[in-house]
Amino acid sequence: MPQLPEASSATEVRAFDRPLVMVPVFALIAAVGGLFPSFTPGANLLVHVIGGTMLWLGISGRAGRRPVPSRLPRSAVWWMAPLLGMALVELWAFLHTPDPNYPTLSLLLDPVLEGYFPRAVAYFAWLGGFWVLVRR
Amino acid sequence: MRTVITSLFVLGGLSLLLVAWLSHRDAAAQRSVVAGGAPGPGTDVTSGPAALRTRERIPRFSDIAGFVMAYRVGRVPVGRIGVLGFWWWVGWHFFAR
Repeated sequence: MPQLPEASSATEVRAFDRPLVMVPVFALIAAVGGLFPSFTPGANLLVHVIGGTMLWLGISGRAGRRPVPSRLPRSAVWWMAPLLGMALVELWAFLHTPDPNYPTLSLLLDPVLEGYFPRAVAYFAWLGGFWVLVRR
Repeated sequence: MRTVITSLFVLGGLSLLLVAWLSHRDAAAQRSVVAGGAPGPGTDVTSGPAALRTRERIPRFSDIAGFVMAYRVGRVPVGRIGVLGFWWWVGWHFFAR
């Protein structure tokens, strides 16, 4: 059976690094983050505090790290195709800014993220993604 | 044109969801095979999950991110700073700017 290449060694995973702890913490932050609309000092402050903390945790390795493959199989191209496609569409739309007929991804999502619940859910997804990256 | 661009973004998003589902299914199948232990004498070594018999397993997105993040220039973790910095910018761009 095809397997991923041998993974690099990982550092110790911390005791708090479990869904029972992290999910409620992220849910609380997302619930607060959903309260701040875009272009407000509160939204900027929260994003930068979280981003700075996560970057520090990720670079210092204090959150522990999980093993990563030393090389990628060819099947990784399955990820590259949609990502590259979306990046090209985004670039194409961006080059036509500010024409409203060529909306970028953020312009399309702005009306969706105006509501509290979708905003809080998106915040939670962003935090979860950040945590996955920090531990890699 | 707005409809075309919106449709392309939706198509791209759905494609990403499909690949994510496939990669997680492959990872779960691999875990179940590993948990079953090594095959004994006379065991058909191709008797793993059908999905993995005919194709290479798709890595999870976190595997790709981890591979990129391992890139260093000297002692500087350029890949780690780049990926985490990009994700920080995504949050700022969608939630704050």
